Amino acid sequence: MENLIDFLLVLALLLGFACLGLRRVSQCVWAAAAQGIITGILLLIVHDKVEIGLIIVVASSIVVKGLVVPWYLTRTIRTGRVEVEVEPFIGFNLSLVVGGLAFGAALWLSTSLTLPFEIDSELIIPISLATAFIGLLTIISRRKAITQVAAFLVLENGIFMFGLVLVSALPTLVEMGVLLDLFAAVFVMGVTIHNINREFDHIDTSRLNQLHDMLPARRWRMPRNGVRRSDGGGSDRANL
Amino acid sequence: MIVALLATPLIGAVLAFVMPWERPQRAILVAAASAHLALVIASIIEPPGSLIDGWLRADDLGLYVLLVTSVLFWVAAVYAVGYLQREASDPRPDWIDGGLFSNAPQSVFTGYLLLFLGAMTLVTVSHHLGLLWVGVEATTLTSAPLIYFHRHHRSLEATWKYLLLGSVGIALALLGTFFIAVSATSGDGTAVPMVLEDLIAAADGLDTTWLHAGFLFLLVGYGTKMGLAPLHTWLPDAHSEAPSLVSALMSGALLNTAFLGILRAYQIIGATGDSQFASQLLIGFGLLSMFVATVFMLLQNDFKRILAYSSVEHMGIVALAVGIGGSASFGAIFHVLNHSLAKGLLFLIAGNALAYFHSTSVRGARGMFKVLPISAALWLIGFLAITGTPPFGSFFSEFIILQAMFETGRNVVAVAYLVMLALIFTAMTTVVLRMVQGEPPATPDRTATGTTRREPWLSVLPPALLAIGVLVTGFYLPPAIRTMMDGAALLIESGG
Repeated sequence: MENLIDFLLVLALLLGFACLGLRRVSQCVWAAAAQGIITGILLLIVHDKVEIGLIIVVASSIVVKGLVVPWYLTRTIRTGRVEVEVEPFIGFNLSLVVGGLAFGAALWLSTSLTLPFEIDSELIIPISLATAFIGLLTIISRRKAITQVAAFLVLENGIFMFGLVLVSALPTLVEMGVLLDLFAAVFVMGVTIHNINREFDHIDTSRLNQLHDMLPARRWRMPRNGVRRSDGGGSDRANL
Repeated sequence: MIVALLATPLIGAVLAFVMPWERPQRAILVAAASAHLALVIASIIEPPGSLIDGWLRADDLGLYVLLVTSVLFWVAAVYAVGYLQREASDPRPDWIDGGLFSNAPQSVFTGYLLLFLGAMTLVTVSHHLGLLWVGVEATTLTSAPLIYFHRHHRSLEATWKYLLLGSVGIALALLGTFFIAVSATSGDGTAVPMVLEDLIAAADGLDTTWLHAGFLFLLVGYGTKMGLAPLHTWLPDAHSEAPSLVSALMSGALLNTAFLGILRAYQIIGATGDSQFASQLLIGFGLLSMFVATVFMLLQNDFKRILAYSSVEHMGIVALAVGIGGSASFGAIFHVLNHSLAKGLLFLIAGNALAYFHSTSVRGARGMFKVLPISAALWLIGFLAITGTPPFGSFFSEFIILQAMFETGRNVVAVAYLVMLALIFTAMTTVVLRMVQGEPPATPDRTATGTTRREPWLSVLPPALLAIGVLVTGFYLPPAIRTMMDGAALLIESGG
């Protein structure tokens, strides 16, 4: 049993790296989906006794993260004619290196955070934290909104795996809350992506760059020689 | 009573969603807001009992944040009636790039406004950390559609940034909640329930390392929602693109509820008797937020964005004050109220200015006194209140915080605090004076309305009420509210 848990945990970690390293948006989506299914199975295994409530949580987790979300995202990819290549802010090889560093950091953290109680596998804490860090890293380093949603799923999966250490302490209601919120968040993100899609004909967040601080300020001279330029006489039309 | 508090906005939202006519939708909005406010006041007079094993409970701190939220929501709801009347539903050209856009249906807008209120209410009455987390997440999901009311690409961009950063923050907060749950689990696998009162009672047995790690993640996670630097970047975009009354609610109510999440964790840390670690984090994040806000406010030429950065500044002040502890805890509690009233006032007036000038740039909205005299006067009052000028309440709360800094011997922090407040004062003076003085810009699309006109009372009365509120708090606090504030301050400084 412990071997199986360790195997699934390592597989989940590798899928996180896959999402970070694969070049196609759809591959990242499916890696995140497979990871979601694995975390669902892990939850089932870690529980000592199988109850109706648990089966509902596991089943809805697998259905939402493994089927509904990837189906919706791939549909958006298709209808949105998203270019499948991702053009990352941080290159693929470099991000894999940084991902490795994140894994190292998670290992180091897990040695300083010792659990006050026994758990099934020593790997749960380092791997869950590493998966969460990798998800964060992917969100930061990718341009496509869909990749960012998939990366957010990876982050959620990491946190969900951390929740495995708490299966006895956390009531089912909170697990349901996790799922409901995950579903709601991805749903709203999906709707937003759909609208971005319609609005821009592309899903590249780096082109979502209309809003920043200095845009109007370009016409607003900062004092160069200690005196702020008087605003009389300027053209008002330029501001509108 | 708590059930009624939660149910009122929900029922109102359902009614607003199904109501096909716009006028009754607005009536539902105001009616639900009034009923909610009445229920909150009733709860203050007679505190309701706890529900589901203490998961839902109304303590002084929660009720206080709820009161601020409910008051501001009521004012915003009245303002919304006039605002929605003037909002055309047909596609119309964008002011900035000329592209056509239309609004979301008004039933969706009023419905989500009420759901947003319901979500914030849930945060304030949750004493179970998991349920609290669900509430904060719900505030993100219900407020995102409000930012995207004007369906053009800038508001969409703002909504996207808000959702992504908000969700990442909330995910980190969940990890923090899990960490605290680990700290509450003992070697034989039995766990203290995640209910605040139980955790505080069992504080001595909590694992400190995990508790501190949990607090750090909660601070970063909820801090993202609260607008603490460096994860505040969604805030100026969302506040500048959302309809002004939504900005007012986000600044004056949403940020406070996110802060409440941090305070709940701080209460637990305080109960362990050693809150040094948490206090220093709060002071650090508070100072950093004030600094970032100061820099961006000095460089800012968009009046809605400067208000947004001002929110970053004031959240920084509140976090800083809680970190200082002692009498600054009361200052923080008091400052929350003053900031919400003043910022609500300013955002509503910004909405009036935006509706008239069709520009968020300071130069594009000159000469307010000539064309919008009442709004201009209120804008000045709001500016004086937000910068902490006497005799407004904000002066006293900022002063109490300053005094506590000197009392606890944090002179360097106090000097930095004063310098930043002074810089922000000059930055805002420049912006505000430029807007109220001078000749209004002449533009072709406003030839018909270019002269002074009577301002609709629904657009000036609600902000005027807030102006009176922030002035009154400088002199007088009703005894019931004063008691509640003392109780709330005691809760957050008990371990400090």
